[in-house]
Formats: sequence, C-alpha cells, structure tokens
Amino acid sequence: MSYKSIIETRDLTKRYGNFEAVHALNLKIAGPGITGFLGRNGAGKSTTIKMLLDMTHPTAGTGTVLGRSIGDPASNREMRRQVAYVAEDKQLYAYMTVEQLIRFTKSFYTDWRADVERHLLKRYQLPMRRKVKALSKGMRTKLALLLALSRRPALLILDEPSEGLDPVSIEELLQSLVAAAAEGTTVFFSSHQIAEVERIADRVCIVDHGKLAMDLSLDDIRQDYRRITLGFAAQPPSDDFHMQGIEQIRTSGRQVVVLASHNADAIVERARSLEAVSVDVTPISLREVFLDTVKENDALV
Amino acid sequence: MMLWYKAWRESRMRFAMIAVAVAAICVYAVLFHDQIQANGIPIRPGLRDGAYSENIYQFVYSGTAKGVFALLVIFLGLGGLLRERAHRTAIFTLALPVSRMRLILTQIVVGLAEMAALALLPALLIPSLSPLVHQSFPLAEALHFSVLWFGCGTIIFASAFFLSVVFGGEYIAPVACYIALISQSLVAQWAPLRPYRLNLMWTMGEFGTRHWDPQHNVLLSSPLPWTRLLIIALIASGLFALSARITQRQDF
Amino acid sequence: MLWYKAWRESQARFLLSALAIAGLCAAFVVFHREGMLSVEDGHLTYIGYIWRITYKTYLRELFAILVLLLGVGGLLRERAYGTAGFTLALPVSRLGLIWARAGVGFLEVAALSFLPALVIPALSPFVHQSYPWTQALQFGALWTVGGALIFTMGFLASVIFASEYSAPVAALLILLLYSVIADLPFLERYPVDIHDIISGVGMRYFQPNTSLLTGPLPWTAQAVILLIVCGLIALAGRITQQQDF
Repeated sequence: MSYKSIIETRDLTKRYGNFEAVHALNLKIAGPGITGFLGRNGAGKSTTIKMLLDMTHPTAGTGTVLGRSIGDPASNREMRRQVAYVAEDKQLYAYMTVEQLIRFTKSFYTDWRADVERHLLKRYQLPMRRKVKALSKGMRTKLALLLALSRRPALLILDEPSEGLDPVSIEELLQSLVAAAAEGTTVFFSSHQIAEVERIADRVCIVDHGKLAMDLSLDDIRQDYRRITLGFAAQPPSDDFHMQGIEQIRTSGRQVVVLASHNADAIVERARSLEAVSVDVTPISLREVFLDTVKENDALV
Repeated sequence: MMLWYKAWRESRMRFAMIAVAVAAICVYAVLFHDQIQANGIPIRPGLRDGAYSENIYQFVYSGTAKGVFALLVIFLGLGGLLRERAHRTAIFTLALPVSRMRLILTQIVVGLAEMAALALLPALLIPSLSPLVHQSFPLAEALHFSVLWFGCGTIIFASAFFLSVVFGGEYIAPVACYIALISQSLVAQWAPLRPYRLNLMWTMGEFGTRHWDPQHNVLLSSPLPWTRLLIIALIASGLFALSARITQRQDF
Repeated sequence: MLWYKAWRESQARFLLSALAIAGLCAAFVVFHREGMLSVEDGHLTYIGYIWRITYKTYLRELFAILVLLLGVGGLLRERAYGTAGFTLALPVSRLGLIWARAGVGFLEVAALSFLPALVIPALSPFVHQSYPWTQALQFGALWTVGGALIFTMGFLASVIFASEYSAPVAALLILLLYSVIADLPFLERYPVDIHDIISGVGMRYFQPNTSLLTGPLPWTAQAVILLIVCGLIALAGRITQQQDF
C-alpha cells in the first residue's frame, strides 16, 4: 500500500462533555524519520495517539495511519500489525513472567526479530522467570521497549518512553530509536524531555490546548530560527512589525522580543529603521521555541 | 492461541478454587453419605427416604454443590477490558492487532469451557466414587444434571459478563449479578409465571419433575427441558452480543 | 479522612446493596398476596410470610452475600492499582487503615441490617397489614452482629488473597465451609450457625408457630460473635502489618 504521509489527520477532534481535549488537529507526519510530539500536560498528546490507534473514538474528523483509516476498526487493526506502541503507563500483565509476556506478544507479529530480542534482553538484563509485578518501574519500561523494538514496524509510537529510565538506559533508548529510523521505521514519540527530542528528532509538532501550535523541522530551528531582542528609547511601535518570518512578538516596557522563523536580517533592518537602540540576535533552542509557543497560546486563550 | 492463554491465566485461580470446592462437596457427599443421611437432611415429599440417589440429589444436585456452582460461576464471567483499564493494561491489549470482538469472544469461550468443566465435575466424581462406598449412581443421571448446570449457568455467566462490561467498579458487577439472581428467583415464583418454570435454580435442581424408579431403586429425572434451555441460550447470546457492541463503542 | 476514603471506596457497592434490599422489602410487602401464594405452605400469616421470605430465605441469603462483598478491598487491592504507595506514605498506621475500613464496613452492615426494619413495618399498613416494629428492630440487631461476622470473612480473605476475584471467591467458600461445619451433628446443639442465629431457626428466642422473636435475644452469643469479629479484624491487621508493599 502506498501513501504519502505516515500519519495524517484532518480536523481530528475529541470532546469529553464540554471539554475539548483535541481540537481540529491537522497533523501530517512523513516518514521515515523521527518526529517529536511535544506539549504540556493535558495538551492532548496521549488522546491523539489513542485516537490514531482506535482506543478512543474521535468526536469529529478523520485520520489515516500508514494509509489506513483510523475510524474503521478492521482497517485500524491491520494497521496495528505494522505499528509498535509503547504507552505512557507501561503497565503490562502483572501475572505473566518476562518470558511469558514476550512469548505472548511475539505471537501476534510476523515481523518479530529474535536476534534483537536476545540482544535487548541481554542489554537490559531482564530476568526471564520473574513476574512483571515483581519488576521495578524502570525494568518494566525496558520490557515495554523490548516488546516494541524487537520488531521491524513501519511506525513506532512511543508515549514518554524515557520515563523511569536511568541515564545509561536513556542513552541506549535514544540510540535504538535512531537505529530504527535508519532502518526505515518512522518514529513518532511524545516526551517532556525536550533535550532528548532535540538530540534525535528531525521534526517537532507542538500541540497546546488540543490544537497544533507548531510543526517545524529541527534543522529550520537551528539554521533559521532566531530570537531578536530589540531595545527602544521610547515606547516601541506596536503596529510596524508585520513582516514575513515573524512568528511571535512580545513587548515588555521598552523592549520587544521577536521570534523569527526566517528573514532575520530584514527584521533587524526594519528595527533599525524604527530607531531601535539595541539589537541582539541569538540562536534559539527547541526549549525556548516550545516555551514561547505555549506562552503565546496562554495569552490567546 | 495466546489470547486464549491470556484469558485462561486471568481466570485460572478462580476456576481452580471453584473446582476444588465443587469436587470436595461431591467427594464428601459420596464418602460420608451415611452421616449426611443420619443428619436428617429433609427429603422432599414424594421421594423415597433412605435411597443413596436421593441423598446425592439432595446434597449435590439440588443443594450445596448446585448453590456453590451458581454463585461462583458469576466470578468466571467477570473481568474484561474495563477491569484492564483499571489496572492500566487495557492500552497494551488494545494495541495488539486483534479486534475487540476477538478479545471478547476469547474470554467468553474460555469462561464457558471452564463452566462446562465445572458442570461435568460431579458427573466424573460421583458415579466413579460411588462403588467405593458400595453404591451406584447412574452416569446418565449425572450427565443430565451437567447439561442443566451448564445450560442455566450460561445465563448466569452471561449476566456477569455483561455487567462487568457495563460497570467499571471493581465489585459492582458481582453485587449487581447476585441481586439479579435472587430477584430472578423471586420473580419466577410469582404465580402467573410459575407454570413456565422460569426459576433457574429450580431448573438446575429439577425441582418437582423427578420420579422414583422402583425397578432400579433410583430417583430419575424427566427429559431435558430443551425448549427452556434453548431460550436460556438465546438470552445469553443476546447478552454476549450486547456486551460486544458496548465494548466496541467504549473509549479507553 | 481515612473513614471518608473507606466510604468512597465502598459507597457504590453499599448503595446498590441498599437499593436492592429496600426494593425487595418493598416488593415483598406490596406483592404479599402473590408472595404468600408462591410460598409452599399455603397457611402462612402475613408475619409468617415476611419472616420466611425476608429473615429466613431470600433476603437473608442476599444479605449474606452482599455484606461479604462489602468486606473485600483493602491495601492488597490498592497495590494492584498502584495507590498503595500513596496511602502508606500517609502519616497513619496500617492498623489505623484497617480499623477505618472495618469501621465504615460495620456501619454499612448495620445500615443494611436495619433497612428491612425501616421499610417493612412502614409499608405494611399501606397494604392493610402490619408487622411489629419491635420484631423488625430485633432482627435488625441480630443481622447487624451476624452480618459483621460475614463481613469479616470477606475482609480477612481480601487481606490474604491479592487477586481481584480470588478474594471474594475464597470468602464465599469460607462462608460455605463455615455453614457446613456449623451443621455437623456434634455442633448442632450449640448456637454456632450464624444463619440460624440471624433467622431464629431452631433458636430458643424464636417461636416457629408464630414466626416471632419471643425470648430475650442471645446477648451473650452476640457478644461472643463481636469478640470473634474483633479478633479476626485484629488478625487482618497483624497480617497487613507484616506484608511488603
């Protein structure tokens, strides 16, 4: 089956009574590669993922994953054969041993890779005969990752994958994700650890208050995004900064802070023409983009 | 295959406990039949006093074992995706490339198989142990009751299954199921409904339909009430179908 | 607040049970004519009918199962849900948690026990019958103590068995075993069968001809039962104190 986007949603919405967890979300994730899915707590990340996997039914809107409609149970089920998912909770069947759970999960997928399974078992040092309920949170997380990574899925969806892991394991996880992407798997993971996302992701989607706030590539952030801090002697002009490339403007006293996605030079020129007494152009990190974006949304809400 | 394994693992402890209880009652009824008889368990009017088959019938098929079976089959029907949601494993299960229908069907089939095994237990134990106390109990009679227990147990199981799909709380489903079971017995006793013999417990115990066979000195049952069993099966199927429909629409 | 927590964790079961018991009592009264016909002995008085259908058979059996299910729950279940850590981190003793759950449970059992005493005498005049309040209240007292013992079986089972449904199954089997043992010939002469104590069957304080409680209630037996209940709860507490979470 051929398809343009790995994940594509059109006006995807989920309402719980009066509360809108996801509002008219239009996502477009191309593959292969690694896409980070960022958002504050309660932004709608997990709800979106659950709708993609037919665990939660959308109130409105449509979507496709690997070219298959998310709203059709049979189609979604076929899609899940090619999708590996690690949930935020990472709760697994407490009454099974590690060995039994691996055997159980393996039976559903034809793309299981025993060599990767053995490698990860050894690396994660998971005790085969121990019941899941007797595993620590970190070991349970590693087991959940093993169950996902011991396959060659077309799409790997992870919700807070590094939660509960020690730094060494986090490093191993990030390397595994990069390796998976290099083998052709599209990785779509949500995380609060922006530094991790920044290290390995190619693209980032930021969702806030249930809406897509930003969808950009990390290369764009590194190469083109700039924070331009302007100081004025008098009250800064408010209406003269409608220029291409300006994503956000914030005024604080006699200072104006501009988040520019491109066209920084032209913006600086304009600022000087408006008699800015100080101009400071700095590269901006993903963390700053994220914080600026959600603060902007707070101001609008 | 592995879905069956999962359903079995999640219910095996309950199944084992019920099986041990039913088996213990049967063994006790056979090995200590003299003491039970001496203890003066009242034999219903119309039945001959003192026959081994009557004592077995009183203690097992219309008494203690039947009650244990009916009350505990409820627990075989409990569980499901709502309980998995409470334990936060529902997401893992639902991420598997299997339909919700298949998950439900697997749970139903495993539960019914366990119930069938429990219903057959007395038929395995009583006729085979009776010679040890120089008695005999007809296998055909024992199997007759196994069919009744399985048939009537199906609707109890289905009710518990349905209620555990509807109620997410841990023990609400069994509480509701017990209330339904007792209420059903009461409603079935209502005079206009009595002729239809809707009381499940009475059907399981063949109340008022048995007769004495003097030739073989044994209490015998009437032919199986196939119409009633069919209706029970249809109602149970309806409950299963409704449970499946509700589960397919639920959000997790 | 520990009592509040225990209440919140059992309120759905309690309310459903209360609704069922109240509803059935009302039905027994309102449909007493049909009920009296359906009972095998056709010469029952209204009082005899109420006793048989409420205090001897159907409602008593339901009551026993419902209070048993009220008893299950506790820290082992919390461990399964992942909230045990939160609860145990509170500056309260494990015994305090146990007694709070038991205390709330006993109050719920008492409420359920006295429900028939509220409904039946109150509704009977509407169908031109009467059932003595004193009788109903005395049965309420018997059911409270008997119900407490049955509740404790569920309580103890849920301290021993961690699995969600193994505990109530085990509790039901304990109740069954208790009933079988209490019916053994050498124990029959002693008032040890809780079902007989709460229904009056075979007891000196119950008159089968009139289906009325006539003699003084067995306060000694009640006190002994309450002591046993306290002992079992204390045992549950001890077991909980030794458990790892």
